[in-house]
Amino acid sequence: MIQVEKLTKYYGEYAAIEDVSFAVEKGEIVGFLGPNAAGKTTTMRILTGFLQPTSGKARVAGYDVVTQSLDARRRTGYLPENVPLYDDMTPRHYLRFAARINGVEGRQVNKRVEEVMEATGVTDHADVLISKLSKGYRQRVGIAQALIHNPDVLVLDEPTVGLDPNQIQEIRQLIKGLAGDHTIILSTHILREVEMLCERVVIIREGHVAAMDTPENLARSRAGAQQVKLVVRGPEREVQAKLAALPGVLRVQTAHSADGVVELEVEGEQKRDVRETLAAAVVSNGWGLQHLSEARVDLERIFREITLEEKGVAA
Amino acid sequence: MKNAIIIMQRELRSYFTSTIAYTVAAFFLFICGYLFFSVLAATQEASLRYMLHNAAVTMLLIAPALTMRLVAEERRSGTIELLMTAPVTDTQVVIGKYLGSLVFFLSMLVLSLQYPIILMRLGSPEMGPMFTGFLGMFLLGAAFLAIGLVASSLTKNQIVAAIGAFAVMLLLWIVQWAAGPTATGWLPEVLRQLSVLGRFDNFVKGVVDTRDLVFFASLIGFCLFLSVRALAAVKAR
Ligand SMILES: Nc1ncnc2c1ncn2[C@@H]1O[C@H](COP(=O)(O)OP(=O)(O)OP(=O)(O)O)[C@@H](O)[C@H]1O
Ligand SMILES: [Mg+2]
Repeated sequence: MIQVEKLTKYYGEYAAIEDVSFAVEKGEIVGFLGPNAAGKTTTMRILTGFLQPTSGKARVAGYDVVTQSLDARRRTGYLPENVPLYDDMTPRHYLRFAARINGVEGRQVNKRVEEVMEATGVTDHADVLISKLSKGYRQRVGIAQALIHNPDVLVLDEPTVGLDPNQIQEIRQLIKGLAGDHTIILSTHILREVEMLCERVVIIREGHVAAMDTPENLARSRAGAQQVKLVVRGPEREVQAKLAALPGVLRVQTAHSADGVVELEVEGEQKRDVRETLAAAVVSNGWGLQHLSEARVDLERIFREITLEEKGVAA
Repeated sequence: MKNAIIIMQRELRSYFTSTIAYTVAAFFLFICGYLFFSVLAATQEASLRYMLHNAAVTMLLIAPALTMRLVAEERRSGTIELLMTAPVTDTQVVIGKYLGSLVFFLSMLVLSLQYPIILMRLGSPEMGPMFTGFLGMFLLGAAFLAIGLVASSLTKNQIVAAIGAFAVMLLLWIVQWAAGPTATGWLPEVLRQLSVLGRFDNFVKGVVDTRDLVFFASLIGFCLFLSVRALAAVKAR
């Protein structure tokens, strides 16, 4: 749905992004993660047609954002950073304008406006001037206008910044509910947000893509192995020996053992998921499987590692 | 065209909720009224010539005040980002905004039609010059609004836009003084050609010259073209 190839943008002499490539499949939610000034907003502005790239290509919903800009824009909903809105309008009037300008058919306009206001929860503030709305409601109106023409692709630049914890929760629920029907790319500094919402992460640093994968794979590749926690009812030694011999299992360690119940920590090869192999082995040996889970991914640490890796590594 | 109309309607809504626009309209109508009655009292002549001639000066203030906000404010507040990422062309944005200011100005002008109506009740004015006088006023305003739109497209600061527009308009206003009425040579001739005031006066006198129409039309066209380029430059930055 979104293809970005070697995208580069110079502001004068300064390269805000350089050779950025990634792709987003239909129906996916992808997180665009990076520290300040990494180039997230710049990339999104190019995707939405607000900025011209210096070089490289980007396609949205099959349309080139430079040469077929209008077609691409018709299929894109955009929530810019800081949510710029006309302060002298009410949400209802503003959304009617947004609907018409985005090509919603005349007879559908009012219906569509009511629908998105309902979906984003702005109905009760529909006739208050936008200048009088709280940050959270502005954000909702911003998301409402992005949705108004039911676009294939949603580009959301820091959709939850500046909101209180309850509002953050509500907006995240809202975004999550939009996945599937829409392909979503959202930028954020917040790792929890990526873990909760996104199927894949693109980590960008100083204008370059530093990493790109699912949050789990990213963690695995960083740790060098998959970490699985296992609780089995069975003889400790035998369990440990048999599991260690399984294909893909690197190491098995007993963390705790009592009353015939063993708690184990297993390391598996990063390329394959050993969870099912483990489960099958436990069951076929007639032991009791009480618990099996992949150890919690510490994205926070990974993000710091990836974004702080100095140029020394690359040079 | 449909997109331009949608943008025009938003601009109009914005004018009709703005204090600046009402102040400008009130100012214009007050000055017209004042000129009308004082000229009438002094000359006892059933003609709008002097009134229109003098009221035209107000355009130097009105046009910048009506246009300074148009693009500059969108650039300052960032709303331009949503406007330019909607499926509309830069040309549609420029035309929509220009039409918004033009329709507002036109509605002011329509309100000032009360003076010719009063005049028709009081005496029997010549209809021709009255009509062409208002046409001239409309064209002058239309040209100045276009200049104001260019200025507004070039900056994020409304005040800078207003001052820039005022400076250009004033220059076009006084340019013929530099030329003088009789001097010959190419430079005075060019300066006379550029003078909006001279061309406006032709209309007030009741003379509709195609060259004047072409002049105003090209000035407007050129300004709209410059505005489109200015908007496109925001994108390419
Ligand atoms: N209009 C501009 N002119 C010059 N430089 C710019 C412009 N816009 C952005 N930059 C620079 O480009 C770099 C990338 O900026 P960008 O806004 O894309 O970062 P970001 O990842 O969105 O950051 P943040 O998380 O702070 O929003 C920054 O160094 C910024 O200073
Ligand atoms: Mg940003």
